[in-house]
Amino acid sequence: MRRSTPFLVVVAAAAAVLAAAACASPDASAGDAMADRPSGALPVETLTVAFAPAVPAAITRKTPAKVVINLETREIRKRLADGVEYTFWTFGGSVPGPMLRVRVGDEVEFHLNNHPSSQMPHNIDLHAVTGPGGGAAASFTAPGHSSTFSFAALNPGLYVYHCATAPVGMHIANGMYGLILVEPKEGLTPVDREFYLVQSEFYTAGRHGAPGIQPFDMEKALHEDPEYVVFNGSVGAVVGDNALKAKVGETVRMFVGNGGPNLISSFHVIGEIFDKVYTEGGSLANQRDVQTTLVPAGGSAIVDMKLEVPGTFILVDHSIFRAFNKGALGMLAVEGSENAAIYSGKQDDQVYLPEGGAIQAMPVEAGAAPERELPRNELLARGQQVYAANCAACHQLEGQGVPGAFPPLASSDYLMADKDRAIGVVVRGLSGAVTVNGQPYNGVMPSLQLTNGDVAAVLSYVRTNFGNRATDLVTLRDVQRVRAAPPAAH
Amino acid sequence: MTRRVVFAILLCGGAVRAAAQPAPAPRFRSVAPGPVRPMFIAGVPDGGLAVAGFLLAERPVSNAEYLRFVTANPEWQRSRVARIAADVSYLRHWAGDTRLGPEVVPAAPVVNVSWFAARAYADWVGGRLPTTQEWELAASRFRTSISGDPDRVNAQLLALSQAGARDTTPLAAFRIVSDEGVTGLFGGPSEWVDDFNTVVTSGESRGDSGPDDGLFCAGGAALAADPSNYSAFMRYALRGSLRGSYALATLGVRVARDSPATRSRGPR
Repeated sequence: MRRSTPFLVVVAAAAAVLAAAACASPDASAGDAMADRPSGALPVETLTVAFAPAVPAAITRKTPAKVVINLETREIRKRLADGVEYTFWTFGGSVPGPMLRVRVGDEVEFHLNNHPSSQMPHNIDLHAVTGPGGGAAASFTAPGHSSTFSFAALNPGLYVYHCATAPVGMHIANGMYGLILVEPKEGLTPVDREFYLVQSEFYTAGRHGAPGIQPFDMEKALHEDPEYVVFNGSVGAVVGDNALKAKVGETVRMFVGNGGPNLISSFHVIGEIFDKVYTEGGSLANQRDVQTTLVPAGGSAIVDMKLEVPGTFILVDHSIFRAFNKGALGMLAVEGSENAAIYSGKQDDQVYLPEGGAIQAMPVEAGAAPERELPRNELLARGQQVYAANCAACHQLEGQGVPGAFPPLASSDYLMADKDRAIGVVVRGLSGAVTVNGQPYNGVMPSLQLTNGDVAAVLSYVRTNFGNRATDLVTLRDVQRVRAAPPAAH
Repeated sequence: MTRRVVFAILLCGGAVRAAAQPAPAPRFRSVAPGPVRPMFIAGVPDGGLAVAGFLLAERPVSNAEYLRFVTANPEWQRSRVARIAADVSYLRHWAGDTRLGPEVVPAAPVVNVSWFAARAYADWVGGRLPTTQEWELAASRFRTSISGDPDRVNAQLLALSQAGARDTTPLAAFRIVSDEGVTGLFGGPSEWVDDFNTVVTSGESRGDSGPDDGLFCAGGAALAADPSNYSAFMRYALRGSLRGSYALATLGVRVARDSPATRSRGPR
C-alpha cells in the first residue's frame, strides 16, 4: 500500500486496488494520523536514538511533534566474529543502526549525513515512509554530504529502514539496516523491559571462522548461502556478558527486525512462549501463545513475554543450523527465585534397561572384537572419523566451537592441560561451569557411548590437530585406566 | 626526473612553497577500441556500444602534480576558487593554498577535487577527462592480467573496489595494472569522468518514476545490462550521487586524450 516496485507489477497493481479500497474505507488509519494535527506549528524536538539492544524511551506526549532525526552513514572495520573482521557499512557506526522511535502523526525531518571517509554514496529507505522509494531518492547522498527530507508518520508499526543505493543487496549485506518504531496514538502497552534485536546474515569470502579481514562475496550472496547468521551484527553480540538481562516476574518486549538481505527468520526463544505477538510488526497484537514467529527479510515482529522462572533462555533462528553453526544465537538471562510448580528442573535419573536387568555390558561393546593399540596413522584416521560422527556437530569441523555455547577444542587450554581429565570428559560427560581459553561456558556435554578404542582415537586426533600440539597419543590403556578410576572433580 | 626534483623539495620541508612550473606531461597508454555494455542505457545492441580507441594516462594525477597546477593557476587555489566550481571540501586535506603539509603524501593520488577543477587540470596538461564509456572500456581490460579465470574477474575487481585505498597510498604501490598498462583503475580512489551526470535510466519501464531515481533499491537492477557486475554498480552509483562542485576524499582525477587517429578526424 506504500509504494510499488517495478519488478512486481502484478503485486503493485493488486496493492493499488487495496490502497484504493483502504482509502474508501472509513477507518483508514492514514487519514486519522493527520486528523489531530494542530493547526499551528508543531513543537520541535530532536530525536534521541538508542543502540541495540537498547530501545529509546516510550513517548509520553499525547500530541504530534516535528521530530528532527540526524543519522550518519559510515564505513568502518569491526569484529564480525572472534578473529574475523569485516568492513561494515553502517548507520550510526553500528550494526544494526540505531533504533528510532516516533509517534503516529509526527512530522519527521530527516538528515542523512554521509561521512567524508565513505567510499560510497548512501541513502535511506524507511519502510515507515509513505512516498516513492521510502525516502531513498530524496536521501541519496555523496560522501561528505548531507541530505534532508521530511515525511509524515502515517501508519503505526515497527518498520525496517535500510540503505537502498545500488547495488542494494551489497549495501544491506554490509550492515545498513535498523528499525523505526511508529507508536500508535495511545502508545504501546507498558512493559518492564524492552529490547532491540536485529537478525541478519553476512557473506564473507572466507569460510565461517576463517580469520582476518573478510571481504563481501557476491557469489555466496547470489546463492543466498551465508557464512554467518547473527543477531545484532556479530557472533556473540547477545551472549555471555552481553546477554539481555531481566528478572522473574517481569514482562519483556522484544522489537525484532530482520535486515536479511536474504533469509527469513524463524524467531524462537528456547523455553519461553510469546504471550503476545504483533505479527510482522503491525500495530495489532493479533496473536497469543506463539512458539516461533516468522520475521521476513526487510520486516519485523514485536513479541511480549512474561518471565515466570529464572535461567538462561536462548534466542535462536529456529532454522536451527543457522543457530548451531552460523551464529544466530542470543541469550536472555533471567534472575530470580525458582518456581518448581512451573518448572522443576531434573527430578530423577535412573538406569533404563528395556531388555531387563540382566544385560549389564555397554551396548557398543557387546560382541565387539577385543581392541588393540593401533599404529599412529591408523589411530589418527579412526579418530578423525569418530570426531566427524560424534563431536563436530557441537565443537564444529575445525574444533572452533560456538561462542557462548560450545567450548573450542582448537588451541584449547582446557583440553590440553590434563590428558586424564579430557579422557574423563569424553567417557563420563561434563556439566557445569568451565573456563576455556579465557571464556566461561556453562553447559552440558553428554556421556558419549564410545568404545575405549574410539575414545583413544578421537582424543589422539584432537590433541594433535586444530592447533593443539600434543607430543604423545592417548592409548587404549590410558582410557581403560581412567574409566576404571573413580570420577574426579573437574 | 623533474618529478623527482619536485618530490625532493617537498620532502625536505613542507614549508617550502613550490614555484610555478610548466604543466607535467602525462604518460599515456593506448586503449584499443572495443565494445562497452553500459549499465543503464536501454536499447543498446547485444554487442554493446562501439567505443573508439583513445589515450588514457597511465596513473591518476598526484598531489605533487596538482600542486604545480594550482601554483600556475592561482584561481584554482583553495582560498580563491569560486564556490560554484568547488565546494568547501576542495583540497581540504592540504595544509594551505600551495602547501601539502606533513600529512599529505606528494606521490599519492590527489583527491578532494571537483569536476570543474578536474576538467581545468586536464585542459592545462593538454588533455581532457575520459568519458564514462571510455573509462569502462579501459576498466574492462583485465582479462589476462588479474587471473587465469575470466569468470572470477568480476569478483576480484569487486574485492579490489571494496578494499579502497587511503589517500596516503603512493601511486607506485598500486599493483593492479590493466592488460594495456593502466594502473590504479581499481584499488585506488574513484575517478571523475567527463559525463558523470549522464547516469540515468531511460525510464521506459518505470512509469511512475522520473529518470533520475533508477539507482535505488532493486530499481537499480531493472535496467542493468549485467546485474552481477557489482563493482560497476558501485561506480555508477557514486557518479550518480555527484554534482560538478563536489570534492570527495575518495575521488580523484585521471587525464585522457584523443588518440592521434581520432584527432585527425576532427573534434569528437
